[in-house]
Amino acid sequence: MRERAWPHVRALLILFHVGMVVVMSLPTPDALLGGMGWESANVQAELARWVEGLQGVGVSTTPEALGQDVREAAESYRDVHAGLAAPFSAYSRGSGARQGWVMFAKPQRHPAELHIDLSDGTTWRPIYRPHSSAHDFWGERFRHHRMRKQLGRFARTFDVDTYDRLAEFLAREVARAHPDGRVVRVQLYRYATLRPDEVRAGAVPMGEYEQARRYSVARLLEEHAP
Amino acid sequence: MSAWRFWVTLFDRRETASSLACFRIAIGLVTIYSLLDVGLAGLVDVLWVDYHSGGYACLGTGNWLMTWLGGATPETVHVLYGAALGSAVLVTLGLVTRVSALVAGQTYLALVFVNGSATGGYDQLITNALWLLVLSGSSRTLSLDCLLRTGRLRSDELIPAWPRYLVIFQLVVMYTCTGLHKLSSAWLPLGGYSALYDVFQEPTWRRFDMRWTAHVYPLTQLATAVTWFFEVGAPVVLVWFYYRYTAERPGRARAWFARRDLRVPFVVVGLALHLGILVTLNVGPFSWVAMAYYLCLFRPAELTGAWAWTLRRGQRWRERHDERRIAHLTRVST
Repeated sequence: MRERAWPHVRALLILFHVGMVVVMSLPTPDALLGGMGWESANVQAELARWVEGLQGVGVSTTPEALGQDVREAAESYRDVHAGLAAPFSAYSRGSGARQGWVMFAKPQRHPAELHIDLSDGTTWRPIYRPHSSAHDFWGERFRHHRMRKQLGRFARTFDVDTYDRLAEFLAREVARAHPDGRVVRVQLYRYATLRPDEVRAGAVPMGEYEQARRYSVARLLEEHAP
Repeated sequence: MSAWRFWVTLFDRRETASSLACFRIAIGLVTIYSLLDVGLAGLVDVLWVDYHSGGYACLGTGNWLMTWLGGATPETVHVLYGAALGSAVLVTLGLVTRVSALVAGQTYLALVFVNGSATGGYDQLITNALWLLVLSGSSRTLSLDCLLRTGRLRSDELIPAWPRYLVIFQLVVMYTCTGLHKLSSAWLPLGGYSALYDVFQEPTWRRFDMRWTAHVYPLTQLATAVTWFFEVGAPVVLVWFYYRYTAERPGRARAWFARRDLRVPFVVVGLALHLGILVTLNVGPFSWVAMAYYLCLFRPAELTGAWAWTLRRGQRWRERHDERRIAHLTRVST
């Protein structure tokens, strides 16, 4: 009896696993809402391009209206997704067979580079610039793909708390390495990437600094890390 | 045959363990690489220790294992890191394999997902693979378990084939879903297939200055289109497997598929894609772990045959090399 039942039980368990993989791979409402970074320059530009495309096939809308429609659809989809995922979420979490395959879905056209500078009281000198061998503080660590991931997120979905903590953490590292400095400045340099014809013409992307944070080296060295 | 009967029969199949053993070794090595890469960069405490204990981010208490061990403190993180690394070595060697895979999966899961801002699809591919290794008999050959059990490293013992099918299914779902998520106009004709060019222009992932891609922009457009179609078209491989499994049934589509091995173009394009990523972008072990899944696309007999062919070629090359060397020495001495 047991020998005859086992193939059916096993097939049922495999069906459950396959169902979990499919359901948990569906886009999550949170990824479409908060995780999307609706206010970011990248998504705003993306909406504008979609509106242009839709107008080309006779659909009249605006970036604001399109964004609102997608958000409303994601809200309505929330209950459906929750209902579908409920039977599988414990198994997915517990087994480690997590799903969610959003990779390079929206290439970033408005990157925000992390820049770190140190002042001796009179002039600022660069300590870190991405892809710069001359200003390579923490180079190997910043080049690591997990740090790249974290830094890349600041351009998409800016989380001020995480940014503030990371900026302070990095400023403390700079202060330890350069105790003779006076002020550490951590900021983001945001620009729009260039079109191929602009790059071929020799143009250089020009941007603006944002989210500047300044820390006194003396105070960082006095304070204990939290 | 009813659909249910078909399903039950499909998962009743057995085969030797070579494909899953190769997959196990590859996944073990990728897991070791993923962990060592963080450790050698000095980022273990930075990434995975909570802000209140010296890290940069507020991480909370983590999953059940991290919580049970006391939260994201340096001590807990170091214990998990050591356990993950040690068990990944055991997975690679195939010692106490199912338990090792379970420990590796759970500790890796606890460690990397405590900081959701620093994880990637590769982490999911690794934990998925480790879970499937828990369910499989991958240590029946090419393992220390096999050596201890039989006195030999290799064995032709049969194991259930369904874990290999689930590996293939996971690979196809990964590609398909990542393709379907690519709704940015940059991946579509609407945006002029500019996605890969855009990725190369921003500093986050590129390994080096990629401005030169502006001079070969049409090539990047072609690569973007190929990538997208390859990803969303991945389920065709499952259709091919289905038709091959039911080859005795009639049908023109089945006959068309029977005449072609769709795995070949799939693997060729996939390898080109992943090697391109490896050269140009730093996305961690993504390409390595994805390519490890490819091993399961092939039946054990096919992998064994490929290995034997490689050995024969190597042997022939050595013989030819020796002949040339002897001829050269003879010429010199005379």
